[in-house]
Amino acid sequence: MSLIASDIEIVNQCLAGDVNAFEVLIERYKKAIYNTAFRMMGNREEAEDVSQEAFIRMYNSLSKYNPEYKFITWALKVTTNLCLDSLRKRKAETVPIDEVFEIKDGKDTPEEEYIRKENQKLVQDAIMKLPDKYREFLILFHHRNLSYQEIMDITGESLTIVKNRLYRARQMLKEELISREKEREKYAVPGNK
Amino acid sequence: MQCQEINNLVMKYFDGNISELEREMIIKHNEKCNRCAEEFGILRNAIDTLEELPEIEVPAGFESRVMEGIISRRAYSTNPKIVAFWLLSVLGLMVFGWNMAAYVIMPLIRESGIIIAANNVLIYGFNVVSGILREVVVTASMLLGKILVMRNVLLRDYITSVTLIVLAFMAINVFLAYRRKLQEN
Repeated sequence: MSLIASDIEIVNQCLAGDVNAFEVLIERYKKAIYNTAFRMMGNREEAEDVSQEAFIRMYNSLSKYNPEYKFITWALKVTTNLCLDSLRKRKAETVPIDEVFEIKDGKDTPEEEYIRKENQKLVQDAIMKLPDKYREFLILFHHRNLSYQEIMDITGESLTIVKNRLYRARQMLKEELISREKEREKYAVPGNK
Repeated sequence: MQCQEINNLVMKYFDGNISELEREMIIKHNEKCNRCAEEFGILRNAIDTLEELPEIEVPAGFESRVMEGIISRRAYSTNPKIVAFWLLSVLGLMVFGWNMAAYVIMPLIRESGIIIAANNVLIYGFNVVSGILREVVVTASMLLGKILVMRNVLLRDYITSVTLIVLAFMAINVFLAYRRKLQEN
């Protein structure tokens, strides 16, 4: 049985009134949803709130789900919309950015490990600085590895806009990182490389 | 080749949609241009890192919290049909309430005020208790009379009153909107 067919089967079960069937869908997609929310919001607490709310909304609007699209596409659409909404609402406040490091199976040397961690921290910080709309596209394309078509379905934007946003987003990311680099050089102790 | 053109190729490169020839062009340019090479390195490092950012584990009990949310919220679902039903009901009650007030309660109070007052003067002389009893009887009979009179209410009066009320509502709304706009400005 293909994955897509069973998603639709579950959706139909839910629509027929079987609430518990939905738990299978949560189990199946929670990781993608939670991680997307985490990269959008920057911290675990908000990521969990948003992804819970996203699943509840999905359940309540299951009848609007169009089986032409993959379930995950629709799920990400609901999630990213919620993320953008709550980012807009929080605007004024400053929210902590959680650092998350992967525990690798000891293949890297300690130096390599350190560099990788530093890189991850740098990139996560830098993408949190981007405007929400641009961060969304970077995350969907480069972190979730989605295609143009999928991003078009999720965001409801045209191919031109998707390409443009990605272009601008990368440009901004580059500028942000370059300015950080310069900042660091300015404060670095001379001779200490 | 200009740096700006290379920059565009670099973007195509990260889109994953670049030809072998264009790739060569980037490499060749970067050999000569330090700035582009450095920028390319920074972006490439960032994109690679972004692609490999670790997936984090979903907190334990996530599903059950979502399911709880779904079940508890279903009780207060905002189905548009239900909302429309409630709105219609409230509207119906308002119209009914208005009709009752305008054609039953108001005339009743207006006319019965004098009669009952006169009645009370008489009754006061005899007995308070029997007065109250009589009052009840009188009121009940008058209520009956009023209900009969209601049949004589003209359609024209009815329409005029309803129109007046609608106009009043509109006027209040316009006034409120206007005041709000003033405040916003």
